[in-house]
Amino acid sequence: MKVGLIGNPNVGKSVIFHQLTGIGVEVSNYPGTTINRQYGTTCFQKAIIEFIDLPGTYSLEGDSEEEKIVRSFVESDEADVIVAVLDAGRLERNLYLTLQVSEYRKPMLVILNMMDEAEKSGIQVDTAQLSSILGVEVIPTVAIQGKNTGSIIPAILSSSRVPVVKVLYDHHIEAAIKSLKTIHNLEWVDAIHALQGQAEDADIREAATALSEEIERMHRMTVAQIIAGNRHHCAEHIANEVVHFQSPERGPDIDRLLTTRIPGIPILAAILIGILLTVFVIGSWLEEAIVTLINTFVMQPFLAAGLPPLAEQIGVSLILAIQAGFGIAFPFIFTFYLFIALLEDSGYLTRAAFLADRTLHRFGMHGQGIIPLVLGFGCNVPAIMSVKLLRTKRERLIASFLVTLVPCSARTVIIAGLVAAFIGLAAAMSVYLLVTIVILATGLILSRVTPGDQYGMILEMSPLRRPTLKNVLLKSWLRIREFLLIAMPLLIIASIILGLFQYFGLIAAFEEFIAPFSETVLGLPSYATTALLFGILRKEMALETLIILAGTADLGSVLTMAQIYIFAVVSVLFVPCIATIAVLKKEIGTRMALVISAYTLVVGLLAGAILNILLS
Amino acid sequence: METTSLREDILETLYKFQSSGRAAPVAEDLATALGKEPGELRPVLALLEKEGDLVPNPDGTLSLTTSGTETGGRVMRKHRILECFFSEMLGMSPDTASEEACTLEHGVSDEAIERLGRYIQGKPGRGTGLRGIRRGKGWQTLTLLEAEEGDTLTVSCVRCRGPGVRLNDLGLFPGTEVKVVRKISGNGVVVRVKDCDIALSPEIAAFVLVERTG
Repeated sequence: MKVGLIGNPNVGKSVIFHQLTGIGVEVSNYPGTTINRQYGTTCFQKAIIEFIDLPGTYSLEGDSEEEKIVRSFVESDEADVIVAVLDAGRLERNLYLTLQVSEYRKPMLVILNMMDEAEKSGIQVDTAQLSSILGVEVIPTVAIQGKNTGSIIPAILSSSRVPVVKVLYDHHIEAAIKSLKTIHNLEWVDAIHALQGQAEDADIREAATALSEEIERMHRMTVAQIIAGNRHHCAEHIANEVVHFQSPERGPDIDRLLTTRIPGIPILAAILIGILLTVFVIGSWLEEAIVTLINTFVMQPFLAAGLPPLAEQIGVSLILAIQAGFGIAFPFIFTFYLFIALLEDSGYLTRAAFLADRTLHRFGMHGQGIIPLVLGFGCNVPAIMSVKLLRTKRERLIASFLVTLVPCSARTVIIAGLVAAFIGLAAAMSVYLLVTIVILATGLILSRVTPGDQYGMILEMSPLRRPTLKNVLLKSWLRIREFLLIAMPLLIIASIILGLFQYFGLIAAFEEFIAPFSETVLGLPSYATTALLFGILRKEMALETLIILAGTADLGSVLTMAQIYIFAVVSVLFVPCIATIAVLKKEIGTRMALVISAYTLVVGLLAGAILNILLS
Repeated sequence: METTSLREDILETLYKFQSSGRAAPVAEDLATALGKEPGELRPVLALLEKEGDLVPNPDGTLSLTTSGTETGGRVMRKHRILECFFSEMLGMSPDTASEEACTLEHGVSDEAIERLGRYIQGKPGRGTGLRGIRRGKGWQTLTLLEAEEGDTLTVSCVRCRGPGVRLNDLGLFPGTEVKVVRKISGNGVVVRVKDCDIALSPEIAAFVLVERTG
């Protein structure tokens, strides 16, 4: 038996999915967390039920990615039961989608979630009456607390019914549907889609267009508007019947602080800078502890074992990869994700998107672009995966481009371990400043040269909620697990390749080749350029390779301050790591991935060359 | 009433002279254009002069003042819209349409003409030429971007096709009541629609026409 979960964004579908299946999916107080379908199976009284968590959508009839996914799911006969999840506090708007879904006349069940929040704002919903109007069972729940979620599966099995509710459409629309149905032998839902210009068959599309043009002429409104209007009226009517308002408990208006220019924007800046600084400090401290730990308990015993040279080289590379992975993943990325989870779950991120909208416009994006950019500070890979949130190709392209320039945790390691350690904190901050300038300049150029339309922001503001520790930890864990799954294999392979290169003396040959360029243009010894190159495999490996090739961890004794600074800037800017390139290729295509890599290569080398002239 | 119509007719005719670039008329020219005797016009002209709508020039011609130009222009616009409605939409002959418009232009309210103008000009979902003609008292069409924080408004038109669909789904379609919850100048707005707060970019808010009633 297959059951699909459908609902508006941010109504708690994923929480319910998690409750029902025990499978960890990411849950956010930010619309659009579930971009792809999630599958999970559970067993109840010997019945196997497969649940499918679908992306949140406001409608079944648009052309956005999530609407297409949900529509094709509903249209296919994949699901035996469709469970509509509704936010009790926003019943009227949520019913709009439920009414659309019920037009498919499939067995349904309605979950009225977030009853606690609705009650707090003085909203009482008469579930029995709602159930009799819709003709399906209505189950009130507070999913986040697990309240009444136990009765969902029994209800799915025993009392899912085909809804009886019917939207009364304008008589012209009804007439048009009737004629399409009889002349072209269409189903009711296909007819109403055809009328809105969504028909595969050319004949039907032509007939439907003629009808809808006629209706548009009569009403001076588009057919889509009339249909949406009729559905909204129906939803409003139902909501008026079943919702009873009482005087709500009014808290202080925190939004007044968060979404006004003053103090909203300073608060936003303080939060972001505060997070970065905290991650910087906590991360460096934890990293040192983890690296020392692995050195003492794994590396040294391994070296003491006295294996044959080739095996030893591979073993060392493997341990180094694991050391680097954990040394970055937990101290920097996990700490960072904890903060991001807090921002999401509190509902602050939507406010940040609203505030950043205007600024991001200058760079060819809109408010929602802040998500990938902020995530980029953790790791570029998930950040680039999140550009899917953006609606147009143009915005996705610009966002991907800029995200690859954002200094991720691995680059933070270089800045902290090299510039901050050997030159000073101010110099480390100046690297950030430099990178910020490069990002801003790139954004300004891209917003002018990238083709395509800009689609403005239409974003529902999540209500402010108190984040729960459990969900914050769970989400950060899921994300770090995803990071480890994607990045760890690459780290290990790259590290072993590097080890073998070194073993077979390929590195020495390369150094001889690159030396003239390295010394004259960047002012760096040739081994430093080799280190830079290995930074492509893993960003922070540039630093590790540098230490290995220099033969000492006290880099201050072999390199000048200027050389250290140039090395850090070049490695931070130039060519994203291999994992990032792979995910860029997947999200925006091979050609653009190459363009971005080439651009960062040029910018990195150029910055290095200019600094070399200025500093020497 | 009779005098009011005549006053508006005079201002409208003067406005026509002025805007077509012809030489300013003397009282006799006006009388001919309106099909009246110059004697009939004299008292009304004196009244208009006294109220500051027109000024006689030394050579006997008449010019409109700023307030006179405004009134004349408004009457002229009403005439045009009514004429267009009668001939284009109701299929009356242009002459009859113009005649009807001449009578009705003095009685019709600003709101009615505004709505009629929109009805004629507005293509479904799009609408044109609305900017710069909101003059009505107590009734205004404006875009969501121009609304003030705290305003409660009614959506009258959503002009964009692509994002418009999403706005429809969220409940922002003609007839819905919305409240502007937050507005940062130049940075878009947050509106409350059907108990949900929706943040809109400025370029999207500029596509949503709303009206303020009362």
